[in-house]
Amino acid sequence: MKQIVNKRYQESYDETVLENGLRVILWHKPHYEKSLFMMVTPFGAKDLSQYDAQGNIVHHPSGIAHFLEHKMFMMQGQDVMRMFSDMGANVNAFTSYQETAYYTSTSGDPKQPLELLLDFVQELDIDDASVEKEKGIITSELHMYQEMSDQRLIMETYASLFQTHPLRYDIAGDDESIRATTKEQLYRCYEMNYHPSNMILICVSAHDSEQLLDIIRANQAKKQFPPAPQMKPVEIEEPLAVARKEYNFAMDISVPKLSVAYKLSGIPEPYERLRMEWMVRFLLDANFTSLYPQYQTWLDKGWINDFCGCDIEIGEDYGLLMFYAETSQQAQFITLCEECYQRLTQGMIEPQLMEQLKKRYFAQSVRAMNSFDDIAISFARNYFHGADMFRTIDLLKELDEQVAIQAGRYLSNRERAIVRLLQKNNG
Amino acid sequence: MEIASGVSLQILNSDKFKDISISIRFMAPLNETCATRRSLLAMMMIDRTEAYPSKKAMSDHQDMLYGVSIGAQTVGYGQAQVLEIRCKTIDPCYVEEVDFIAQVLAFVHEIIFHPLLNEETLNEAKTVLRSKLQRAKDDPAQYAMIRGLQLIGKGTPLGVSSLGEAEQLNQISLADIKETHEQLLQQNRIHIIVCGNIQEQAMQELLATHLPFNNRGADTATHYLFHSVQGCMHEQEQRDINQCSIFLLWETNTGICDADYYALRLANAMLGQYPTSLLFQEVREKHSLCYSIYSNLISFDGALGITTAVEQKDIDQALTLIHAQFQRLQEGDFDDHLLQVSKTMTINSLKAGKDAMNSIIAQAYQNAVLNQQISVDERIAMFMQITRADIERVMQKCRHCLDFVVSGEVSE
Repeated sequence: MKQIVNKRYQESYDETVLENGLRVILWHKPHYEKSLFMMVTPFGAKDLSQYDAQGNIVHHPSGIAHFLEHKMFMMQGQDVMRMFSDMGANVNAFTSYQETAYYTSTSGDPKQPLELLLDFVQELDIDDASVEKEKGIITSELHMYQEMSDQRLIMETYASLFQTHPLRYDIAGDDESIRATTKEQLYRCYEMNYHPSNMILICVSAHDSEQLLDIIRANQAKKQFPPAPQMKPVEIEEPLAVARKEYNFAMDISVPKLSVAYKLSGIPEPYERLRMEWMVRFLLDANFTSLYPQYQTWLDKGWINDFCGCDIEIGEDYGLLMFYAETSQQAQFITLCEECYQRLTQGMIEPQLMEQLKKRYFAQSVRAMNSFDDIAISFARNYFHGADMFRTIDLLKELDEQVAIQAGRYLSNRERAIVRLLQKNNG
Repeated sequence: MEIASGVSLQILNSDKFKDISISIRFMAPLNETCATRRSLLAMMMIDRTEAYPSKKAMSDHQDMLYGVSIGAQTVGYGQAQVLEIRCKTIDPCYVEEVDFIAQVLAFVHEIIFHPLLNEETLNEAKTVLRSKLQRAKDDPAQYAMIRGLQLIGKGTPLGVSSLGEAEQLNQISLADIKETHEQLLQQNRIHIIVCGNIQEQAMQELLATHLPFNNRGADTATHYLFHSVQGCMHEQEQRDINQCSIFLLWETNTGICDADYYALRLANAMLGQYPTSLLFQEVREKHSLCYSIYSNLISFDGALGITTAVEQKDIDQALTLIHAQFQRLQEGDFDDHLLQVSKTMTINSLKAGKDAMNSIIAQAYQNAVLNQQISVDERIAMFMQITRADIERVMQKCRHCLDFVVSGEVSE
């Protein structure tokens, strides 16, 4: 077991890889009552095509990672949620485009919930009837999010930006893909992506690492696993052009919303990607938040209100920068976004502003380590991307004028998509 | 401890967090006029101050204080409304500045004592509040709850939103806001709660310097038992939406200080707080009618609400099932296992609350407001003693008063 201690952030963890390939992280949180255990597979909603061991491409229906997440919660005919509750533990899961995570937390004895987490994630127990029954619940969840105007705006923005990338689909898929999903497809996905060697188990707890590891080892020793699947993702070739330059849709809302998004390229190298993401975030803060002197004027003129923001996301094979607002003055908002974007491409930021933003994000990153969920999710994501979690915060120190200029170049000459969410009656 | 008459201070020391929270809570009676004024004031206080008279000046200074976060909110506590200013900052052990906490408190002083109150900031706050209220109405689930409480709570504090009312906004003048601010500083009951790794003596001295509040008068009434003056209502509204939102309400007839309160909390857990609960199991798991369904106590008002969203065709079945689950608890038609599991889950979540600063502060505040000193361990002991008969008794005291459905438009 390897121990990692970080004095700067006053955090430490142990790391080991079991014989079956399962990577285990035991993060120390002394004096805390609760423990959190999270199992993560890097199989998410974006993984719709994979090569199998024979080199054949296997296509999955959209939303299957999320469907599978729902169906994991039955084990030997029993409801897993109830089993955790019987132990006094909470359990939950989420599917993102990048990964699927299952986690339990308890303030009681961690042995039983930890074992149950390993057991239910390492066994898929479904039949045709249970798959059919789940479709109603998943469709209801999909419809719930579709009624949320902010969520819809983001989904339609992704659909406008991407032509082939699975980000153009909702994480849950759509009514049709949910209806068409079969037991066989779910089993195939499971077998390809839930082998211990594909997964990571993160324990955040005050309990002794050795004792927790003994529980995990004993549990794994009782199980047989097939050889690790030789699966790999199919590279996604996404053109630089957007799928839809302009798109309008309507909902029962009182004030229109819109997004102005720019399609970026992916950056495969993890630290280069994260450094660029930090830098673009700084540039956005300097040019599109209250730190920008004209921001107050935009508010005063009614071009924006308190629902206004921006975001940057860069992946290995995709990237996007998005502005969004609730506003009736859509033409003015589009103009100010375009002007802002042009400023971003100049890659200029005052040294004083750079220093204060370093302070802000350093503190924000340190404070995030109060949250067990944040630690586990952040660790897993960084691990699957080949990055060290502490190093990603240290990257802040490396930001300077040169990186800002690089960021400006990275943002230059990008295609734009505009999505308008209009009022249904006036649509 | 009382640092002035009507001003209390609690310092909750803990070395497991990486930040320090300072919560300052101003309490006043809840009514429509004051609620809206105070809601505006809360926004204006953290927007700009006389010393930092622009958003940029505020943001720049917050960044220099390592991104100190300043939040303001108004929350209903039964018959009272609480305006909270919350400051969260990184633990000074991570920064180089030796007088870091003093600098943070000097900033908090500016926000509380010298906010920039002028026509410009008021107009902006009105615009923002109007948007917030409208946005909440746009979300069918939020709208069902807000409108439901407004309908059934008419003439009682339950019907008054602590966020304020859009209809009030035009009538509020700058003089009203300044008067409300003055009342906040001079008359409101104040609780200051500080949590984190703190040197108590030094913190007390800093607070005395930066938050010099005067003596003030008596307590404001908070908890009461809600009784509908409209009788039992069954209302339905139509919107152009696909999924229907449902909100139901009961009078609990059990107050937050009553001996039965902990039994009511446990009954609520059995009804709709966990995956084992009757609502989750019957409405979601057995009948696949919804993705989310839960019940929650509005403890300071003596009310219990249930929220879910279903397809249009399933409304009647969902309502029937929800009422049937409520009745099961009243009639004792549940197994001991559900009682035991809900007890364990509730106790574990109380223990987990010791790990979350927000929970620690909320617990300390509730104790202060109710003039009680009940520790988490004492609460756990009370939950342990609850029996099946207690559950039946508290549920039988509940009176149903509202079914409210926001549905899609029915095609003719």
